[in-house]
Amino acid sequence: MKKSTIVLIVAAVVCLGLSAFSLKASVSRTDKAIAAIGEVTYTDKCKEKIDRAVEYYNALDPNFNLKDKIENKKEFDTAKIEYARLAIKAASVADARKTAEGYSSDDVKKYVTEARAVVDSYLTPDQYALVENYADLTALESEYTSTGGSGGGDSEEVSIPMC
Amino acid sequence: MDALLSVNWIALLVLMIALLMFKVLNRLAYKINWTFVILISMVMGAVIGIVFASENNSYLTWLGLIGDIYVNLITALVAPVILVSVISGLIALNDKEKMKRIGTKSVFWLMISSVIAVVITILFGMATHIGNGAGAVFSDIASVTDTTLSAYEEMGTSLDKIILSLFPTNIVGDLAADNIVAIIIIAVAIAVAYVNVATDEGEGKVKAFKDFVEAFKKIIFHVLTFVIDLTPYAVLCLTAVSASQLLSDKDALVQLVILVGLIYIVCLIQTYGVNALLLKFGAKVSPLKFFKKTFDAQATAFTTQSSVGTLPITIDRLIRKVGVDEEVANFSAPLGTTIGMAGCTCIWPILLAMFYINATGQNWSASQYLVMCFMCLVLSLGSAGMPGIGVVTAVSLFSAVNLPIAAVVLLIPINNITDMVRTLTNVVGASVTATVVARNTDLLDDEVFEKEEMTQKKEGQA
Repeated sequence: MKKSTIVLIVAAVVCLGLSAFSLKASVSRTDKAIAAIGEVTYTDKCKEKIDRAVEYYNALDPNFNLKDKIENKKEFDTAKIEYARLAIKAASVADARKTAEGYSSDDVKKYVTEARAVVDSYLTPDQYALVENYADLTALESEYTSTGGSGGGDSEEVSIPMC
Repeated sequence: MDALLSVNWIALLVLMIALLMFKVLNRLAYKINWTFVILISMVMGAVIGIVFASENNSYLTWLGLIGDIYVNLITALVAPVILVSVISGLIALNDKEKMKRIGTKSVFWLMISSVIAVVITILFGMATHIGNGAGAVFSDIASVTDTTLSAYEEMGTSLDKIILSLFPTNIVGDLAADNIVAIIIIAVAIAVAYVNVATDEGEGKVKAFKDFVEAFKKIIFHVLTFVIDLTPYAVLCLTAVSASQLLSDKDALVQLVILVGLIYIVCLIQTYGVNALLLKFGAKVSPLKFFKKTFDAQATAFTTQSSVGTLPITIDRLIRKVGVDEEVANFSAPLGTTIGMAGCTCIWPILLAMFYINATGQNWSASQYLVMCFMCLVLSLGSAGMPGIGVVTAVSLFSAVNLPIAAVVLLIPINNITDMVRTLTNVVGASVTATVVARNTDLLDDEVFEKEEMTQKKEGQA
């Protein structure tokens, strides 16, 4: 057998081993990242933890249904919904302070945009209803943003398939 | 750890397996017939595609890249190959009357092929009542957004646009954009001018140009052999990607399986039935032998889904294996990637339209069907043989006969799966036309056609 063939076979075996390893490891790192979230608070640190868990979760290989193998999926969803609720609450508080403490519209808009970004990146549309104050967000959006309560997302891009 | 997990190891594993298969193919290329090598590479690709079928073809990223590189390489050669081949061929022919005959006969046979395709498609569509009871497919038609609709509407074309697009606007631009008819017109103009100047002022005045064209042609065809050598590897990669795509599109397929099946049946009848008759009675050659000799062009068309991309191989096989004279092969085959194209301009849009008409319970009159057929023939006068043309022809036909473009949007999931067989139909149609024209102009070398294929790799090359 030629040297190049042997090298390819060895490389294939290595890739196979690493594939199996990375599938397992990607599940366990996601579980760990979710466990590390702990108590949900409206802080940058907590958001960072949730973001990491979301990133790892989204990177799970869909072809092996790895998302179904996440043990603490329920806790993960609860944490995301809770953070979304807090983000919307922060926007509502900012809106309330606008009249009481002189917050500018731009300040409130910043909170509203942030809340929308959190909702869109953490939740699927069917989970929106699970956020108890989601209606507040849409109401605030119609007041402060030009898109209104559109449900997020940028302008629609149309992809024409290749033949 | 994160770096290790960010690598798609399965895609790399697939690449290693493909490279091992390349080695096997390389060995086989020296031992067995080139046609079988291509066939084996298709089987290998299909196996890889099925085993590693994945969402968004994520495991076949590297194979897709190799396939795309091949398609880019071969497409890059299209413009120079056609330009120098047509100029060189027509200069060598040195007969303006014969040039005219080749041109008119090519267009005539390509259009005949389209007319037959239209008739067969309508007959099959009517006989099978394609689309009957499939109203559910269009139940979401109202949900197609305006943005999507306007994007598709912009792709539509009309008779004046088609005619205008056939003529050159900028020599460099047309060469860069692979505007085949425009390139042919430029080449014919240059060749006719050469013949006129050579006749009026003596060949010595323009001989340097002829020598340059001949030298350039030799070099460009040598470059072509390098790319053709890569065909089995590219076919393996592209087949793998297509097989995986097929499996991931299976949800869309379930609803539209009858439509996909009928498109395949009609295309294959046109490719191997109608064309066999044209070969038998128009070109007076054995159809079976012809299909065998041009098999690698067929395999390339099927896998690359690009008539223009396959052109260099088509021309090469017509000249070296079928025995079509260079002048005809270099003229008719490229023309067939713009005019004719029965698979994309006749069979596909008509079946989509009939599917929609029957699914929504409309009763069309004979005159409405006639308008549809006429529009298809107009489309077949000038459609670029590039990936994406199937969507353009379908949108154009639907808008011409007042059917909703949103229906095309809902049928697009089967576009990729059917494009393979449609491209095959287009390429075989163009090759057959070139052979028939060659026979009718006494430019078909029967000795080359009757010669048996060699088993050595070098014989399989250009």
